[in-house]
Amino acid sequence: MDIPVVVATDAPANAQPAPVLVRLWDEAERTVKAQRQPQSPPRRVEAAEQPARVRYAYD
Amino acid sequence: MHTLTCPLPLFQRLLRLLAEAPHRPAFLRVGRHHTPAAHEWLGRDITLSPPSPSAHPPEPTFRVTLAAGQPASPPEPAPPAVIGELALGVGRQQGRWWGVVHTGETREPLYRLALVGPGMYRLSAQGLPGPDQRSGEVLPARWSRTIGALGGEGVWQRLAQLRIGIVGCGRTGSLVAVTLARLGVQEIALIDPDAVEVHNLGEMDAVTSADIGKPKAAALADHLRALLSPVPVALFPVAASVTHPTALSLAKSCDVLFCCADNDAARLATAILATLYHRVLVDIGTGVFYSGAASGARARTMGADVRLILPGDGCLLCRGHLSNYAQAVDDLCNHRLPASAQRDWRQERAGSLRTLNQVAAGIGVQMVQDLVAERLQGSTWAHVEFDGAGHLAVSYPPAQPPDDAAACALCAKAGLGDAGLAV
Repeated sequence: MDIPVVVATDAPANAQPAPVLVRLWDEAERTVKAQRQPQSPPRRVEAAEQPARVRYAYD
Repeated sequence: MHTLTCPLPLFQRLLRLLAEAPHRPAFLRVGRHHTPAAHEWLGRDITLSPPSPSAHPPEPTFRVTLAAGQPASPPEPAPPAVIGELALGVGRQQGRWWGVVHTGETREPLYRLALVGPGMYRLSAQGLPGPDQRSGEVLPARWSRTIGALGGEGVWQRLAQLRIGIVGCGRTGSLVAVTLARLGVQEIALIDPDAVEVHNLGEMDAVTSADIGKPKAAALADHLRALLSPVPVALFPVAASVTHPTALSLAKSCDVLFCCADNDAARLATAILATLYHRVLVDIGTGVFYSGAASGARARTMGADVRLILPGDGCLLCRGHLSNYAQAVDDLCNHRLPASAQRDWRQERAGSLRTLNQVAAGIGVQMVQDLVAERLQGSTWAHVEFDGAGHLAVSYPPAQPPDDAAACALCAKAGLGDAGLAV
């Protein structure tokens, strides 16, 4: 991907690539790529149930 | 010292926007959390246009861009209200990041990027000190089984580096505190306005008759120190309710807040803090009740609700709410956080059982372990019931946070930080 340096900082970069950032960027690119593919019709969404309510509140 | 804290779902959305249009910057609106020692910026939402210069008050914003190389100097001045820059590396720089905060005429480095969610990653910039790591020869041996079961030393280190606050240090809270300390968590804040009483000795963990009359938080801290010796652990006991300024200041600096209080006002106050400051909230409530006493056939209802709420994934109110919200609001607005000693517990419940507290505390701590290990991928709620025959059932009620965060009064204030407390 041809990305120019569009903004700059004079802060030091982290020394080693963070594996979690590598993974998250890969996931973002995959998601965007998948969204550009033809989509199948959206699934029918069932009517929402009554929200559940908490019951216990002591220590 | 500047930190940018961002809920993981928001950060993922930011990355997707940048992946869609790599040449266009995104703008991350942020809330503020200022302390004498640090400045924390809390990611709130994303726009593709710069903040309006006419907004009053101006909305502090980070400009976020992609960078394929080491940035040198800004090609153009930051628009008004852009108080910080975050550049995320791509290509050969993938996995690296740079950040600065504009402070008047100078620029200060962004010290840490904290992603609140599965993994609980806190990424430190080069040349700046990272989170303290547990180290030393004795430590791996001490926690070798735990490290093995959690899934590796990286998971355990991330868990041990969290600052965890416990609001309510009685039956459930003391069990949570001891379990976390034994896991190796290095910083634990203990908040409780009550003193140890005789009846606490039956179910509360780690206290003895010598502690009667002492603040629960201080008594628990003393026992945790002795328990872990010689391993250092930073304990911050506060003998006050969570709304007291000292407790408030401490609670909002924690990464994870456990609420183990016995009243909904403290529960609501803790949930508000967690929402405003993007903290992970673990809310634990238990109860044992009897009915039908007059007929002689007394039916027992006994169980617990344990909820883990992640920033950006609903709040306590839209994930199960409170058992008595109106009373909680009234108590909070009128500064009535009732101490246990001022209430007649018999009017509220049949009693307490340490076994039930142990089950609930164990589930809550397990949720945090699974969050840090990335097994748990979102907010969750375990509803625990012991039936009349003593059989245990755990169900997970469906999550129904609103599609639009603005529809929930509390979610709408997510990440607002100090400005939310001033309202």
